[in-house]
Amino acid sequence: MNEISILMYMLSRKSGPSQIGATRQELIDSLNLTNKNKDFIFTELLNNLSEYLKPLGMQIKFNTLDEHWYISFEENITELTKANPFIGKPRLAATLFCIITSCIKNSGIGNMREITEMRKVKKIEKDLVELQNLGYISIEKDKSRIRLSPLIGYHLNFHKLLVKLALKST
Amino acid sequence: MNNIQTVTEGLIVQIEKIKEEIITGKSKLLEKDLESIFREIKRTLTVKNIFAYSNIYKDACDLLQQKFDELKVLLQSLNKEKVYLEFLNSNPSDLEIYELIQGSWITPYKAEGISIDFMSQSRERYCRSRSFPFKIDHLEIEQFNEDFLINVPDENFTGRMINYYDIIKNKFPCEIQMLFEEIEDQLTIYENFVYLLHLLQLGIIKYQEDIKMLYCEENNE
Repeated sequence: MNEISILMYMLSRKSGPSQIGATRQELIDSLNLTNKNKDFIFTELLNNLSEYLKPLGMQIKFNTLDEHWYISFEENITELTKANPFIGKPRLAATLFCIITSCIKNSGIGNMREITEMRKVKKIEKDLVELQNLGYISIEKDKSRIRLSPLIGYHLNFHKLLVKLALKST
Repeated sequence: MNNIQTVTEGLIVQIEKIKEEIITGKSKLLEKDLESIFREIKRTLTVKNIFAYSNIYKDACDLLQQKFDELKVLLQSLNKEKVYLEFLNSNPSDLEIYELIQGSWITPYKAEGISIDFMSQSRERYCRSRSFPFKIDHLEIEQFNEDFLINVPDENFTGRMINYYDIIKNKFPCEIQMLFEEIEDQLTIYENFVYLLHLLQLGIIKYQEDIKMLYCEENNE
């Protein structure tokens, strides 16, 4: 049992229905890093593990939605495994995109009416139920507000999406 | 030789083409793949083409630097909300959005097969057994009394060995057990045996294997 075993376990564990990996504090506690150099040691350990994982086609990532560190497969391997959960369902991708936009606009909470307007289709209830079943969103009881669940942060590279959008618009 | 020249020329043409496309505005540097150029340089670099490649490498690094600069500008100008809304306002089709998101999926690695109980227990054991930083406790130096268990003899080893030889040399030639049969103390036997081994090693005492006898040249003379 060494640091790498602990990190592998902590970063690849499913810690909840829509959570994978561990927060920085959880990792520091697991590694029993208590001295003043704990941040440096923590970064060093993550860098070292990252080097070990590279040949296996894996990398360490950070989910900004719930601040969890986790391990993912590299992009080319993801493409090979066809990770896209919306294959054959472009409408789900479009609805999710509108939800993301609304959440960004309203500090993390999507407005149902606004999403429907953005989507420019009459009914989106079916899409919302499917997205909720996939674990990507949570809908409030009165169905007026929608939140993105942390799970989407593990499955979708928001930064890459933003860069692609920015490139499209320039 | 021709092959090397072809690859070198190919790289030069590739870099020039990228430069031209950027200057004329046909494409953006952020969309260009520079990694393949560096990979090709690394793959085909030899002693023969090293001078030509140094210029190619410099040009490729310049392009990479420009790409970093462009990325910096892009990141600084990014206004998430605006970017998303602008795209939606362009009335994209479902398929267009689907294709945009398509390349942004991630597959997380989940090791659900690992025994969590075992790992948790191991983690606890591991964390208990270590602490940072390691504390080194220095031993206290104590004064020992005169009756210390191991007494170091005053005489050195060679002196004691020669003394032993002087005692036994008149017994030669003899069998090995004759040297020890009168001694009862095990420590003395062991000590004398060590002297004997050294004397044999030094050739002062000899051993005749066929008759199993010890002898020394001095006695023979």
